[in-house]
Amino acid sequence: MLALNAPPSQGPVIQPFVHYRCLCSSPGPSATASRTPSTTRTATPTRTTNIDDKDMDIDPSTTTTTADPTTPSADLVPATAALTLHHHTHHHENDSAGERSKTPAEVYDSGNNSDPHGSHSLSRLYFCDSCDEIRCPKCTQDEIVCYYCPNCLFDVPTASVKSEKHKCSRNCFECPICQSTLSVVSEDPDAGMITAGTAAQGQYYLACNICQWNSQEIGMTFEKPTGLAVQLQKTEDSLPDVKEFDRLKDHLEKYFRVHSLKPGLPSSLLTSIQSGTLQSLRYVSTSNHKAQQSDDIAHYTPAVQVMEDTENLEKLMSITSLSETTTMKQRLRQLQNQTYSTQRLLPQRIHLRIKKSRRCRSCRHILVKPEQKAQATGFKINLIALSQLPNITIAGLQPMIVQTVSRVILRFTNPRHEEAHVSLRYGDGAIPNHGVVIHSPSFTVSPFNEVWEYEVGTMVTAPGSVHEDVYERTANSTSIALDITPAAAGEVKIPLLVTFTFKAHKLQSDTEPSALPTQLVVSGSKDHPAPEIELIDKTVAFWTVIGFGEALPTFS
Amino acid sequence: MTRPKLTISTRALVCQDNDLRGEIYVGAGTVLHPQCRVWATGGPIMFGSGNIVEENAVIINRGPEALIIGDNNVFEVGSVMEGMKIGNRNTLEVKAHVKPGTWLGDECVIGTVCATNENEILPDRTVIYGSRGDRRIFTGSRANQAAVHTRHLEYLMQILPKFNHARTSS
Repeated sequence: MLALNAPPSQGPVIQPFVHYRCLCSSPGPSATASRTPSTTRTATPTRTTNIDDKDMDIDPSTTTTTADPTTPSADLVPATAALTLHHHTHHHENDSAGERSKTPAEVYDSGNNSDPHGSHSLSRLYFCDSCDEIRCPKCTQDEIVCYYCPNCLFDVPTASVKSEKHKCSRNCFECPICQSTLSVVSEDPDAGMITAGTAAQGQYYLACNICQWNSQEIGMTFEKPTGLAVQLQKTEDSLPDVKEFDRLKDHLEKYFRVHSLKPGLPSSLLTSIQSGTLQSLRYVSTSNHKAQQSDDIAHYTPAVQVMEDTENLEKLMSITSLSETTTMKQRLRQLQNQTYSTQRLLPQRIHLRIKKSRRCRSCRHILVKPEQKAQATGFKINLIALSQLPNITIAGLQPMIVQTVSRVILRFTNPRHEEAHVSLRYGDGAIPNHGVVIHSPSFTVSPFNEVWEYEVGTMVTAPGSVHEDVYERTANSTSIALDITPAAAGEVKIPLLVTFTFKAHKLQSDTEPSALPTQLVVSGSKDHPAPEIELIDKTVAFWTVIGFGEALPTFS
Repeated sequence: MTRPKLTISTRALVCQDNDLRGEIYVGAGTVLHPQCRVWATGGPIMFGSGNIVEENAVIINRGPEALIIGDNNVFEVGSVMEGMKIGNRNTLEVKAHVKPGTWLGDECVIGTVCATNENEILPDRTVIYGSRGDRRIFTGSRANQAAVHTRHLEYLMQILPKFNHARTSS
């Protein structure tokens, strides 16, 4: 990789990047057209696509004659001529009738510009293998898998999360001063061995190893080292602010129960939040402006009368150093009273964390699902784009100068265990339209093999050899050369349409729709697969936006 | 490099394989790990009793006057002490830095990767902590800490001589 020198211009250095475009955020009518039917389509298309496949299998002659499977989209044409391509095979129409995916023409139209908006680096994307489309964080849906405490890694059952106020109810506390984890310390370092009978009153306390805070400073000690949350809860509950909140909640809860709107959506992250506090807020706000019609909320009288806070005011006025009062962060961590006095800060129970799964918004299949247990860090389902799409990296880059040809090397790495065929096409919709010559627009990338991991640098083909006209070919990657002539100064970004064909196993079971050939240009079963494992060609087209840094006006 | 002028108490443990320069006095019960650096390039450095100087810790005295280090201080791995004076029971945590000209009181804690300013006087029980170098004066008891320190010293006195040669006064 070439070392990049910072351009002598002002401002931040523009870094090269390779971004993949998710079609959900692309402009144009085609983007919305394929997204709208997602609600109407449920699990049923599985069967219809199966029929398509049978059609295809029974009568392969029609498909193989019409679509050229070896170069399924090398002759990919611009939008105007694409309709004829669309008519070539009848099962394309079936696919589009089911509106499972975009046609190549739609894909071409949807992202033919150099605007990096809505594009992400490959590591942030997912690849739904039943839609055969890139999915970005926007077109996937988060769902909660489990709650756990990040300190003790205890899985908290969902039922008790709310009653425990989303905080660990065991022995995990965070420091009120610096928010690091507190440890339970005994006054006597050998207390573990001493019998409980001799233990003095309040022998245990909480101590922070970072800022040296300890709970003795605020006169908080414990008789036994376990179940501290329950002991602390008593002091917490006795605060007037907490009492008042509970009273108000009790007062309003019966109205929520009557009026609560149960959304029909599944238990997504959003709805679970809504069903809690947000929904209550919404109810309060709507009920306010129609209070005349339905005056069903009884008048609420607060139990605690808040005194005029002159004492606090005087204290704050006399402060000479900021360390005498609490910081915003400390106050926000202690929401119930938000004290200004550091003496009144209490250790807080540690907030629970969640594990999330991600679901494709259009086909409802799960893309990422972690293990249920808090201790396990693996994934049950992990359809990330990194493991399925060719990974494009800029392997060589010359400084860009306006109206001067500079050569860049793009390396395509195949993460799949099957050989992949890649064809490239430069999108002419870029503004400004730089001159781009792709030296080998159609090439293959060898499959990934674990053994090659240990033989880094093994060349299958020497750099610059004439074989297939690619620049370089190593274990599971192929590098190609691009000649770029920047048309104007500024950042050079080019849109590049990547059409990616690979062989996928066609599963025999009807219940597993993930590997069905439903997508984009299904070229039919071109080879003669073994009777047990049927291999079919799948083609996926997607847009990338590749930035090569800043083009300089002249040699400098 | 001239040989250092060492005066080591018989109950102290100063390992070989460390970098000692200039005039150094080591009090009883003090442990200097291997690979620590104590440079008395200016005036002498005088350790009190029960100090621990861990690996890669650096203590430098460039000034003309003696650097007097009190009792029961801990200089953890990679910490740098360039100050003028240090009291008792202080802790310099990992990669902490006491800048030149600084006076440390008693029971101060310079947190991990935290630094003091140059030429400042830290009052007793100052804690510098966190990524922004926040400061506070703590009030709670450190009795627990003292007990841990005693056991730490006992353990080091047992274990270190088994694997390291000790220096003696020169």
